[in-house]
Amino acid sequence: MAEYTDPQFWPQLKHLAATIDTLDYFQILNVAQTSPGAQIKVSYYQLARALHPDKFFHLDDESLKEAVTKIYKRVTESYMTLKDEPKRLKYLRDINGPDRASKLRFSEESEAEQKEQQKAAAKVAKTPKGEQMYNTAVVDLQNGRLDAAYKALQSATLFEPANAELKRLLAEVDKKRKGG
Amino acid sequence: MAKQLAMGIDLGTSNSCVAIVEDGVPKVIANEWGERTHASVVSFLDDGGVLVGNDAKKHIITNPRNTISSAKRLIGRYSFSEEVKKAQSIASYEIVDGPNNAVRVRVKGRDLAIPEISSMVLKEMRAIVEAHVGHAVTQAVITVPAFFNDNQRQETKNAGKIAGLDVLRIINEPTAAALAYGFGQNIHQKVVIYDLGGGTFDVSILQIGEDVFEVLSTSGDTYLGGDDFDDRVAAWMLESFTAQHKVDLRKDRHALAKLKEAAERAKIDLADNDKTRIHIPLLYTDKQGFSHDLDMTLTRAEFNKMVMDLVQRTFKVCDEALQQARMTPAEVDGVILVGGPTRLPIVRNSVRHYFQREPNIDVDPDLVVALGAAIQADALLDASTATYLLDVTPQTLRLGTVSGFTEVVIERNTSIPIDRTRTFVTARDNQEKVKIRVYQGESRKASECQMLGEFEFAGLRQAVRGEVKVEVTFEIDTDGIVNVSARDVETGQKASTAITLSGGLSDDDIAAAAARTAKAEVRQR
Repeated sequence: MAEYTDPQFWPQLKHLAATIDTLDYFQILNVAQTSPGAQIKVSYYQLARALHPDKFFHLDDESLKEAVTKIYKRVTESYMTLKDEPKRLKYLRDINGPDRASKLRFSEESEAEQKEQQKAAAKVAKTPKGEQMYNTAVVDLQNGRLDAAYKALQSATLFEPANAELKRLLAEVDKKRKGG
Repeated sequence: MAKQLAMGIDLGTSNSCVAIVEDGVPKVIANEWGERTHASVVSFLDDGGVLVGNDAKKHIITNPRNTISSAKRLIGRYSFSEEVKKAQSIASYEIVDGPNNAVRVRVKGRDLAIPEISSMVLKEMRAIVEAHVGHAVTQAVITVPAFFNDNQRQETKNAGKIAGLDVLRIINEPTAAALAYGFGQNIHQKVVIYDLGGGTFDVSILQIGEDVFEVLSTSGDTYLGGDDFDDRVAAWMLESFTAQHKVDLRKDRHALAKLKEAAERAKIDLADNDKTRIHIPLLYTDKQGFSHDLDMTLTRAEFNKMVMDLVQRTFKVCDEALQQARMTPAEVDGVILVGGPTRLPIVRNSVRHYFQREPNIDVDPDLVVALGAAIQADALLDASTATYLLDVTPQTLRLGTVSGFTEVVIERNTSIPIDRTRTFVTARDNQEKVKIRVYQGESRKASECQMLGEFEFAGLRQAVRGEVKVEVTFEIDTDGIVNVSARDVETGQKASTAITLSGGLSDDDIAAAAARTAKAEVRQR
């Protein structure tokens, strides 16, 4: 099997390193935005096997090694963000929103915003599972996926049957998706 | 051309060990006396010669002022740190302040940096390998405790340079142990490495998937190890002897060294026996000229009581590592014990109780780290060997802000290598430089974190305030070492970087020390 350590791939790797700032984490990890966490891990391991700087350690081309390290650092960054559910959800909103170009790298501003969002979620939902489902629904709503948002909210009410705010939201989304 | 060779060195607080991969098999190399572990002790003799290893250890009692042990406890630390203060009060050798709050040991009127002492141990390891293979070997992977911060890693690497080694990689001891355990086994498991060494405790949780070793979390205590167990026993001996003979030996460094040595022997003895006799002949000579022996018996039950709180502390660290990995003890597939003190029944039993499973004892706890380091050294040089270590940074990287606070730059347990950037804007007209302070630790308060250094970026463009944006990149590389660089966002111009207040050795210091140690005459017994 051809390996990236083979010189025929070096120009391709150097090009990737030079243009990696234009890619989002899903593109870097080569997974769909809807991929489950397990798939993200599988992809990370595959990329580690292909692109870990250790694999290139014995080579002499310093500029290649620099390029590989740059790519691999971004692979790590992508994995660290996408494996964390709240961060993944926040990132999805970031890159599907109007400021996509400036939000390709998860930043400390994103983190602060994400904490606000979590606080807001914690105000509505009272259980960890409920909070998680509520967060999912918020992202679905922002992306116009009304049916998915309805399902997520429905699951949230299963965990918190007594939560009036969740029920109100559920009814509201239901009305919207039925053309209200 | 013969295949290149690189060694794996476990540079321990109490003992060190060296291994290489020969014909595809990792093996520990013994010295010519058949010893596979070597005391990390350096003794400076009166005739100018230097002894290293198990022979040097014998000099702790006969030549306490010029025999340096447990140097690893001091490496990369500031002279004002608690660990150094403690060492100053109990060590048989003299510890003094160096420039920039660095630590030095004073031997025969000369001040030596800690990496210089460690380099002599590394040179000994190198000599053992060279004697075995019959030619020069300069490439090495050196292990450090997973919880070591950037300063401690840097200084360990510097020790390697002073020893004339090309340090291919610094890797974490528990990760090396996992590598030795899982190498070529084709396993898919979540394992806990419980690594209680001479001076440090680490716990790492790894997911092993064939050839990929992903560290899920790591935690540790760099102030906890087998040494502390010895101190408890020695303190008990001292107390009893003092009560019996109405004499205070606390200022008698010679007697203290004897107590400590006897305490260590008693501890090792209690790993296999229910009780042990501790006998130190002629420990003290009174004013009338009568000599008194210390003669006591220590049972395992008494010993266990003395050290129970130390053992319990390790599980606080385990709790934290599990929580960080978002796991419960029941989700662990295996527990691997590393480090000499894990031979103690009290440690084994407590680990079994905590994880509710029998710990794995297939690997030798004294040798496994060096074996893992050798495997990694070999994999780095050999294009066909495939093992991938996906390690993490053990402590949160922080940036100093106003009024003694810090903010997070890279969180602990983040996979490495990784980098993050921060943008700073000039606050004054024609501002020439930007200064930042970088810390590692888990507190928002700067005073409760370890300062790594102050970075100064100079040569900024002359402009009105707010005009110049400086982008600072914080990188943690595959050695777990922090690199900080800065550039002007608009022009792309790199700013020159100076590190101050770090206490570490400069390149010139390293070169000078390397020249000195190259000359030092290392004595064979």
